[in-house]
Amino acid sequence: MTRSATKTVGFLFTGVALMVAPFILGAYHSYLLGLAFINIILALGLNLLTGNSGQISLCHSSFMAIGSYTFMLLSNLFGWPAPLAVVAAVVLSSLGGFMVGYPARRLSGIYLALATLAFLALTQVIIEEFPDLTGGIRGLKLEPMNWMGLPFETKYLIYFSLLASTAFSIYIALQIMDNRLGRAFDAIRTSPQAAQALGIPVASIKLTAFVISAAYAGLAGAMLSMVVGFIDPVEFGVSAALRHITFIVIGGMGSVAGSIAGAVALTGLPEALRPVKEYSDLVYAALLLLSLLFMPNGLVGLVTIFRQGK
Amino acid sequence: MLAIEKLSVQFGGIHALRDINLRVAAGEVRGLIGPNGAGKTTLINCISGAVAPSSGAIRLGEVAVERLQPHVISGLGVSRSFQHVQLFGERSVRDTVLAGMHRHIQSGLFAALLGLPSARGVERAARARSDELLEIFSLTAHADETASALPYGLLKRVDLARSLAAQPKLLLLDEPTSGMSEDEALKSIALVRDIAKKNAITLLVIEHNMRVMMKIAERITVLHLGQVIAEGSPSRVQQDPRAIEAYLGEEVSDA
Repeated sequence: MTRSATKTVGFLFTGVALMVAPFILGAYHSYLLGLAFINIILALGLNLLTGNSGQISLCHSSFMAIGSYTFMLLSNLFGWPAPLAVVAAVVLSSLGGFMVGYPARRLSGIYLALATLAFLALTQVIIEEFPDLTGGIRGLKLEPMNWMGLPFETKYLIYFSLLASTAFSIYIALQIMDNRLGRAFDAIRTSPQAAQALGIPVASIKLTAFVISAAYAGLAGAMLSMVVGFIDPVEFGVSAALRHITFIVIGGMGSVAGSIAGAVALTGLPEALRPVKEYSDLVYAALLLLSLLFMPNGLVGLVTIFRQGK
Repeated sequence: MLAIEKLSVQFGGIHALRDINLRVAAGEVRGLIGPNGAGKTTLINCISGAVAPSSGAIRLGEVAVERLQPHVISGLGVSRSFQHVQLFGERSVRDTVLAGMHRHIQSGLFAALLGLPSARGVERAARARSDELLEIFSLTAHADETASALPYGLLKRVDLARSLAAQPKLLLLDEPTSGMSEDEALKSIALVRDIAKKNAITLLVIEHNMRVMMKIAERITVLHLGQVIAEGSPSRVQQDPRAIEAYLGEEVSDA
């Protein structure tokens, strides 16, 4: 088989497998698959920002929080139809991205890292200071959602919403990589002076990257509310933000396939480590370190090396 | 086309440029020579907006550009190549050239994100134009290769193609043929000159290879220690005692 034929078969197989998965998998594995999807969406957005446009963010868990709370509050308090609440979550988190991205146009490196960390701290404070709305540190529980009378079981509605969101997210990321935006992102990361001299407005492209990336995180957040059915504010802290960065570093910076590979691998890894439960944290950390040392271009880089070796 | 008046640039205590006056007519091919450190690249950086002058004026047609941002200046029809090739990540040769067309690829944000037909149409048209440029510079065979993997001489051609991609009115070339063989250099510069003449592009070229310079420049300006010390037709500049002393010296006596 030629490579493209192999690819087509692979895609078809994956597609069919994902379509039937919820009917075969048990509750726990469905849940894991859901988390993998959510992490893929998040990683796609973060990778466009960091891997492509070259801006670091330590506050993607905050954009995720905006999406999570927006979705849950609109669904719980006002009974908004779930798809509409998802759209609102994406819009509001994009707005968050604008708020961070606007001042960030003039920052880079460690200063940008600190500014985004400050936004994360601010978000945490807001969550804790308005317990009547956010549930504070105790979190929020999702009430039954409004699916506009669709005659399917909720778990299937959730799964297929998630599958569709993930497919849509991948599609958009691929579009971006292949059009003026993706080229501009790579240009402002690797040579901002040259980019600007050739007519690429660096500041506004930086901001665009932030807004798009935050929209992805907001979608992931809304989906997290849906899949988990509960918001735990601890999930939106610094450790989550750091975990998000490991997705793209392990998967491969600046690559759509890398985002997917990293998110899937690191969602599945704790599961794979269950036999060595006592040491799982240690093994997880060791694997991260080793992969940083030996796979500088992430999992996607391995594929390239493998192909060249043949 | 380009009028520079009393332009000075200071980096700390160093005068990189001092009271430069320069006028380039529309459609002219102007050469810029001078020893290392004369301020040639600084002058180009000023025109393209990368360096802010300490004093003086730069006008493009009627527009004062000395305080404008580089991408705004680019929008007025100024493009450039780079002394040291600037690549954009691991992009292909075609993508590198397409990046130079950014401001001509006008698709709405949502149309671009969703890959709507309107945005795809604009992309396709740009791709066709970039492929024409690649063809002109004999880069078609390398279009899909990662630019950073190419040898330096080819990269300089990619840089030239990209600088022309924006369809500039004024093109600033900073040592466009360095790293090329003499043959390659003469061929490439002839291509650029032909395109410039056909599209009425004004050229300002820094070039160390005097044979290349003689082939392309209609007038030459000689910079030395941040000042203009001579200006005129190539043959006059070659006989100007100050230009010879500062820069041409041995090369001319060799020739």
